[in-house]
Amino acid sequence: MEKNDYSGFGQYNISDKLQLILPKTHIIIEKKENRFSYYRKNSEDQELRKSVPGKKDALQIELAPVLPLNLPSKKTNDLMFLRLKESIFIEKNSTVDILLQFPIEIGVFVLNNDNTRDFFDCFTCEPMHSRFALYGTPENGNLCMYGKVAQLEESEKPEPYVFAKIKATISNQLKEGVSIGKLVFPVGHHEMYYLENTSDAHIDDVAATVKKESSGKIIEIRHVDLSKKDKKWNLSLRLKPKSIKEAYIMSRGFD
Amino acid sequence: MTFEFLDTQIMEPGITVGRILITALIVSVGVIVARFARMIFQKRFAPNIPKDTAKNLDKLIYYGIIVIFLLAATASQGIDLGGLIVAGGFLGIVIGFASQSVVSNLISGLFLMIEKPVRQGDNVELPDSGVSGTLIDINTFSSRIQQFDGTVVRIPNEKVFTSNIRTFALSEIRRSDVTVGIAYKEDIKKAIAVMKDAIEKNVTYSLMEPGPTFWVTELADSSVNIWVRVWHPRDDLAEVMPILLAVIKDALDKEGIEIPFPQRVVWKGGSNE
Repeated sequence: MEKNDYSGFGQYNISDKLQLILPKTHIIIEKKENRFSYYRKNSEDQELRKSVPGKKDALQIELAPVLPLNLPSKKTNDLMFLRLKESIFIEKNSTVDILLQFPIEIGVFVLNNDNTRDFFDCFTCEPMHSRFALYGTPENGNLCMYGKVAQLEESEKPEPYVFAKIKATISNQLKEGVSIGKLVFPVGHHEMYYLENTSDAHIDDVAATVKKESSGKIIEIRHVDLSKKDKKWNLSLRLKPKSIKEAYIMSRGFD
Repeated sequence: MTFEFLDTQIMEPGITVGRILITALIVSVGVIVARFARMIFQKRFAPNIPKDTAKNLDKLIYYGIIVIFLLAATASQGIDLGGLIVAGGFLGIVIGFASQSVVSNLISGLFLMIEKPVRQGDNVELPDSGVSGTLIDINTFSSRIQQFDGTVVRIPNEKVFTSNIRTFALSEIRRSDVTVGIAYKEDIKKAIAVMKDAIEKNVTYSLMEPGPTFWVTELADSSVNIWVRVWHPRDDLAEVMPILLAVIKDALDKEGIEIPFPQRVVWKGGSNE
């Protein structure tokens, strides 16, 4: 399957049958007598069947990227651990902007008559992204969702339905250069955006500051609203309420 | 008069049936107030505080209000509990001897609530009792642990308090270990790489960092034994252990790496040898 043949994010009106083709994933929504049936199959041949009874004429759904916090189960306090495939060297007293891949999950929402949306299904097109990691030591570390990500060029598109883009602005306030091999931060306050009929997805930015404290070198990471946000970007529905915006201190190393 | 019986004196002078009824009425009101206060606490405040603290506060509020009403009722009706205390003192000694274990369980329960070596919902293991499961609650005299097979074990608080308690509650992750033997002729590095790849791909709950580790622990009779250590979220033992060995065996089989079974060469002794 060519990347261009994949179905796009956005809303679909189903009166008879709809097939959605995504990487390693196949979805069929079909009208039966008094219901709509939903069938999903992934690359590991795992199948899911659901039914929406009571819808006689048409069913409206929305396919949208969501934060990767739900699979295989929700248990990480919204923390995301991004392991960089290539570590980044930041010179002393400098600031750099980088674009990174950011793993996503795909949400399917049912649109109601009053224009509200209800969560219906959530899956990943890359099962290797539904993994956990620990930031810190086993005694006092924090459990995080894990993603191994690469740096992107400005014009480069991330793998469709697998990654979104995230911009990180990293300032090094130290009097020496540092190498950063991982970024850990909470994403509970982040919003996810997508472009209709494409697989483009973007998440809010982060600003990271490398500095020295009594405990040693730390990175303070803060949430920043998406800088390139315009009307074309649609806001994805959240699967859980937005958490409080607060900075996260990476005090247990970042190499 | 119909209500003359209310002035009937019972026990010591001044304590009438009427006063006792009024006392009972005030205590009943106290029970209603306590239930109401408990309901408000459970709806408004309990969801925002830890489960076990909420449960302890709930009991404190309920019984505290009832005791306050009881004391207020007896004081307002001029009922002197001093006599009862003296009488109860002797009775207490008798009951105390007879109910040492009950009191011990009660005190242990209080200490468990104050010290909190374990909390409700924690997965715990009492090696001395051979019990492991999820702590459901700590009651006045006993604690209840729901074992992983669904059965519930009631253990006297004294036993819980004086036992070694093994719990994973302080850490967000835990480790599971298995031992795998490969044949002497096999390449250890290759076997480890195959196992690592298979675990990362197929054991969803195994942590990517810290990833699985492999220790060659023994050059045994029939195999080279490798200790496989996998970290995973602390409550997901059941997602990892049932499949871990199967995943490893499948991967080794696919790569043609032999897992030997014990073999012994027996020499039949001859008379000329």
